[in-house]
Parts: sequence; structure tokens; C-alpha cells
Amino acid sequence: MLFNSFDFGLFLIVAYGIYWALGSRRRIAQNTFLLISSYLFYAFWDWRFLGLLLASSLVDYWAGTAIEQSKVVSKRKRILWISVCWNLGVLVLFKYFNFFLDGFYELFQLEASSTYHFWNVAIPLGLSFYTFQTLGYTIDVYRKNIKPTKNLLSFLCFVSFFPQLVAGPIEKAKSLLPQFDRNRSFDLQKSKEGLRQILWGLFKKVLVAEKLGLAVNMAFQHPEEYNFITLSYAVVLFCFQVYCDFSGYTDIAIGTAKLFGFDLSRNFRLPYLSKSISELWQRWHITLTRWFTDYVYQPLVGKTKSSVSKKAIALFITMTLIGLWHGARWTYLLFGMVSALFMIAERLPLFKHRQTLRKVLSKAPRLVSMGYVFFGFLIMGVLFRSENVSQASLILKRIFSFTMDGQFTSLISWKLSYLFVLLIAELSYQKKEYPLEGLEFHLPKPLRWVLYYALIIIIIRYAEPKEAFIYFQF
Amino acid sequence: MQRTFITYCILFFIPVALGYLTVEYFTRQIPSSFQINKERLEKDSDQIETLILGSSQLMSGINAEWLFSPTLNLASGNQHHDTDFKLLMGLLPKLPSLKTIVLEVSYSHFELPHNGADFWKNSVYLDYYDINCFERFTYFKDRLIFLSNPSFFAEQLQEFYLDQTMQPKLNLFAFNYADSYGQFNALNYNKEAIDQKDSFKINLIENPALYHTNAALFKELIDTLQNRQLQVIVASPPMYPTYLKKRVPSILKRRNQVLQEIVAQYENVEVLFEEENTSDYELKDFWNQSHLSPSGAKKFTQSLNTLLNSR
Repeated sequence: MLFNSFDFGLFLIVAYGIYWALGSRRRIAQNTFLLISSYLFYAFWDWRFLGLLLASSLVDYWAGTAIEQSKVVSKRKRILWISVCWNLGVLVLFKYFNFFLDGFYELFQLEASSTYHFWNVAIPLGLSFYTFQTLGYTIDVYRKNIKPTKNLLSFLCFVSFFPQLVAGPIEKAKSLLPQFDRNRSFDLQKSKEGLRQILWGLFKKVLVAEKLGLAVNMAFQHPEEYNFITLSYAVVLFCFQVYCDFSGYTDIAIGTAKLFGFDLSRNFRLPYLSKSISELWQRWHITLTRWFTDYVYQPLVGKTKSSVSKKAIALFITMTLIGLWHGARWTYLLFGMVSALFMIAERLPLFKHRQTLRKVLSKAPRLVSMGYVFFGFLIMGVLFRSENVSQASLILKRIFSFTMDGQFTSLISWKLSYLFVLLIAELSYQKKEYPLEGLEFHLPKPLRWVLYYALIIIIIRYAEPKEAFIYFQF
Repeated sequence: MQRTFITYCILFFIPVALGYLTVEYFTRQIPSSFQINKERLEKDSDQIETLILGSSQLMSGINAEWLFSPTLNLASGNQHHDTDFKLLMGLLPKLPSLKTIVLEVSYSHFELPHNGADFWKNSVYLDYYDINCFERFTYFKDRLIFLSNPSFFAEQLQEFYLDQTMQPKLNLFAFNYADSYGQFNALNYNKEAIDQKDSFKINLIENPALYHTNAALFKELIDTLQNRQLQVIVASPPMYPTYLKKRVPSILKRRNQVLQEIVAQYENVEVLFEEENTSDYELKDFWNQSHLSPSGAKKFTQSLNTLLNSR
């Protein structure tokens, strides 16, 4: 059930109606209903993986409680490791098993038989998101950052909450879990904001991301036919495509959560305004970066002041894992590694007065720093989008050898002008979470309704047959 | 407060729903091969002897009007073998006189992905032919035509009602004999310009893994037809010389291997291979590099007719 589908619209109306009809004081009934709705939502994709979702929830609920009850450090650690092994084990088994097996066969140059891919099963939707969320909970309990919940229903809701179940934002237990334990009363302003944010998310996904995708696919399907200008342009468009696709999804998720009285974390802060690759990762998929910083980078670096080399190694490992988190592909691994190299280079004191590149870029004119970020994103974008390493190297070779052999096409049609509408709107309202936020303070009702109708008509008019959100595959 | 919000939401969405219903109504008024096929299925289903499946190449390449055998042409743009299979299984009980099925195997058919359960035309098949290709439970939304592909149908609405550039001339056999379409027409059938045109739709990406899956399903389809004692003609319509030149040899080799295998393996299969016939088809017989115009369709249909009558 895609967020940009009629099915989801219908599901949302029914769920919303029943949820508030239950009454804001009947928290348990509301939570039970949310849990049923979330499991139903997930079952629309594939009901067979519901068991895995439930098992993951129960393992971490038990782990959190057991860690809290145990006073012996070694036992607490043992329980934590059970949770880590379970979550990462599930992830490896479903997502990376064939990838590692391939690597093993290649490494030892074994002859692969046609049957060696015996784990031939689809990746459960949202696996990377909900395993990280539950694992984060257990680690936080272990670190005594939070108290474990005693309410199983709330915990099951926390793991499976349908607006953010399949593609995040990856929430910290500290911020989302208590919201299930509180009474939620109907908030008119929040509901309006929720609907407006959903509308804005749909605009990003349907009108910008999908249209950009048509142009990008054209170039990536036949890179050998295009010259370096067209390919570079296509990669830049791809960067905006992923941004609009994923941030559009996030807007719909956050807006939907608001309708039910919940607040989810912000996942994007205008990443194209970044002045360095390091800053880009602080503005892009913020909740994932935060997760890896808290649970991978920080433990690697340690609490005491670390040397530059230690930090660099920790950063390299963290970013490589972030790359691999996106999927079992060499291109994702390289994407993570290249990001790491940029970030390490930005932290080295290479300039006068031991200034780092990051510092120099922060003081440089915006055009220069943005040019640098786009250069970095050009390489990272090619790696992210390419099906395999050979395709990525072909495109990079054509771009950086300035190959003029091949067609020049701007790949542009007037439909891409929606990208400019989006950029103007976002840049004009930078302080807002999304441009339509608090619209009633700027526009009278008739004009607001005209704007909403115009957006709805354009969205319906230009919608392509439904395509899944890019981040669903992760 | 809650009631006010819900009332406003309902008031807001009433015009949206009414607007949509209007658009849906006008979409259904555009003449389409689906509507004609639906009417034929309702009236003549017990007489149909030949069924044509496949993609746009057979849709534009065969005019059932010129066939002696009563024929229904259900070929449609982008329709792959998996959809053909589902349509066939849905239609077999409705076509008691059916003797022959015409299937399409174009140059890269086996290395292009199947339509799958989310193909937008599934709504069209459900609504017009009453065949569920979704592989799931369906409800009223799945029958909404405009919603199945808003961008496509919005363009059709504009071209038909506003610009009036799309005026299909469909005969009783759902064949469009309007000859004002296609890239070649846009180039005024200027041979030099057409021969120089290098960018057109052709698959150049090899996909051996997909080839195995697709070839296996195709053989399963033929197995099913053989078990039901139905004759099969595998058709490959003519292509324009520039298209023929651009084909990837290894894709071609694998496709030809399947054709050889099925002819050797199945007694009920014959192949009508006109893909490389460059002598009988002229420039004006093509709409573009891979589709026949009505005059080309007449020639190709005659070849099919000869084959059907020889059996």
C-alpha cells in the first residue's frame, strides 16, 4: 500500500475515523486499534513477514526488561548481545546473505552452481528501519539512557507504527515511545498541519521525483549513448529525485502521524544548501545518521579524546556501514566509502593555521561550497544509482574524461519545472519544516482552498502509474 | 472542533470527488479498442476461432477484418507474456470455438520484464474484459480507468477533446486504420531523415537471468495450450531496416534459440517470422521503426491468413 495510492487514502480515512471515534481518553483502545491498523497495513505488502515483525518486537521487549532487572554487568551485556545478534542476524539473513555468499565464492574463486543461492526470499519491507529502531531501544536501556517500558502494547505500537514502519524516520524510543503512553486528544491545528504536510509530500513525490525519475532512467539505461554534459546533468537530477522521493515520503509519514496526534522527527533540512559533505549528512536522512553516530561512531571513538587517525578510522567504518545499510550491493558499499573519504578529507588540517577544509568551505562563498558539494554528490550519486560497479565506472569515466562522443540532450521537458517551484518554495520558507506550514497565517481561507485544489488537480493530472518509493527497497 | 474539522474535510473533498467522476466519464467516452473488444466478447464470443495476444506490434500489425477465421485481437501496448497468460486463462471458458492462439515473440521479448501484478492496464482488463490480472482481491477502485494511469489518460483527454489531434478510426475488429500517427508520418516519410534517425525505442540491455524466467513462462504457456489441444502461431512482425541493424546479436541469438526449441518440441506450434522481411514491406508500411502502419498491417495479416488457412 503506497502512500501515494488510492488504497492508502481509503485506509487513512477509515483508520482516522475509527481512531478518533474511540475517544481521546481511551488510550488502550486507541493503541490497540493503532496496532491492528499497523499490522494490517504491513500485511497488505506481505502478511508472511508479520511474524518476523512481531518476533523482533518481542525479542527487544524482553531484552529491555531483562537488562533492567539484571544488576550483573556481564549478564546485562549478554542480553544486549542476544538482541544485537538477533536483529543483525535477521538483517544479514534476509538482506545480505546472498551478497556475502557471492563475495565468498568470488574470493575463493569457487565455481558457483546454479543452486547455491538457496536463500531465495524477498527482503521483508522496512526491515532495515524497524530492526534499527528496536535495537536502538535495547542499547538505550543498556546504557541507562531510558527506562524500559512495561507496557507491551505500547512497545508493539512503537515498533510497528504504520506511518513510519516501512521507511522511517528511525525514531528513538526516548521521543516516540512515551507518546503511546500519553492520552492523545484531538488537536485541530495539528490535524490541519498533518493534511498540509501530506499534500506537500505528495507534490514532491508525484510531481517532482517521478518526473525527474523518467529523465534520469533514460540516461542511466543507456549511459553509453550520452555525452558527459548530459550524464552530469542526469546525476544532478537524480540527486534531486532521491531527495524529493524520500523527503516526500517522510513528509507524508510525519503528516499522517500528526493526524493521529503523534510527532515524528524531522529527517531532512534542505540538504542541497550544505557547504560540505559532512554537513550534507547532517541534513540528509538525519535519523539514520543520528543512529549510526550514537550506536556505531561514538562507541568506536570512545569517551576520551581520540586521535585524528582513530576518528578517521571510526568515520570510515561508520560511513561504510551506512553505505551497506542501503542494500547488498558493491555500489552502495563504495558510496559509503567515498562519503567517508570526503568527510575525512574535510576534517584534516590541510590549510593555513591548521584550518580544515570544512572550516574553509563554511567561510567560502555559497556558490563555491555548493559547487564542491555537488562535485562530491556527482560521484556519490553515480554510485548510489548505478546497478553495478561496471555501470558506475562507465558513467564516471565518461563524465570525468569529458566525453563528447554521444548525444546531448537536456532531458528536460516543461514538467521538470516543478523542481524549480519546489526549490523556490523551500528556499523562501527555509525556517519552516515544509513550505505550507502555518499557511492560515499568510493566506485567507478562499485563497488557501484554491491553492489546495490547484495542487490536488496537478498531482492527479500528472500522476504516473504507481511507483514504489526509492527508500522502500532499503 | 473535531466535528467541524471533519465537516470541512467532507465539504472540501466533495468537489474533488465530483471532478474526478466527470473526468472518469469523459475518459470512458474516448473510442478505444477495449470497448470494441468488450462488445465483441459480449456478442460473438461463441464464434471466435482465433485469439491474438501480444503487444502493440501485433495490435498495429494485424487487422482481423482481413482474416477468414473469426478473430479477436486483444494485443495491446506493453502487454507481455505473463499478462497474455492471465488473459488467456480468463477467456478460455468464454470462447468455446477457439482453435488458434497467436502469440508474439519480438526481438527482445524474453529480456524485458514481465508486466507483473501492478500493471496499470489490469484495471482496463478488469473493467472491460472482466478478467482479474491483479492476482488479488479487487474492489471498485480497481475498475477506475483514469486513475489507473492519470498522466496517460489526461493526455488522451487533451488530445481527443481539446486539441482533437487524436481521432482514432477503429473498425469493428478494434483495428485503428487512421494513418496519421507515428514518427515516420511526422518526418513526412522522408527516407533519408528516417534512415539517419538513430534514437528510437529498442532494448539494448542484455538480461540473461530474465531471459531464463521469461522463456520458461512462455514454454509453460505453450504447454497449457497444447494440453488444451489449441494451435499456436508465434508471430514476429516486420521491423524497419534501421531497427534490424541495431539489435544486439546475443539477445537475438537467445531469442532465436527459443523459437527453434519450441518448433522442435511442440507439434501444435508454427512460427510466422516476418521480422527480417525487408523485401515485401516499404517505407509507408511502417508507423515507426518497430510498428506497422495500416498498409503494412494488411500485408502482414495476409501472411497470417495464408498460414491459418493452410492448417
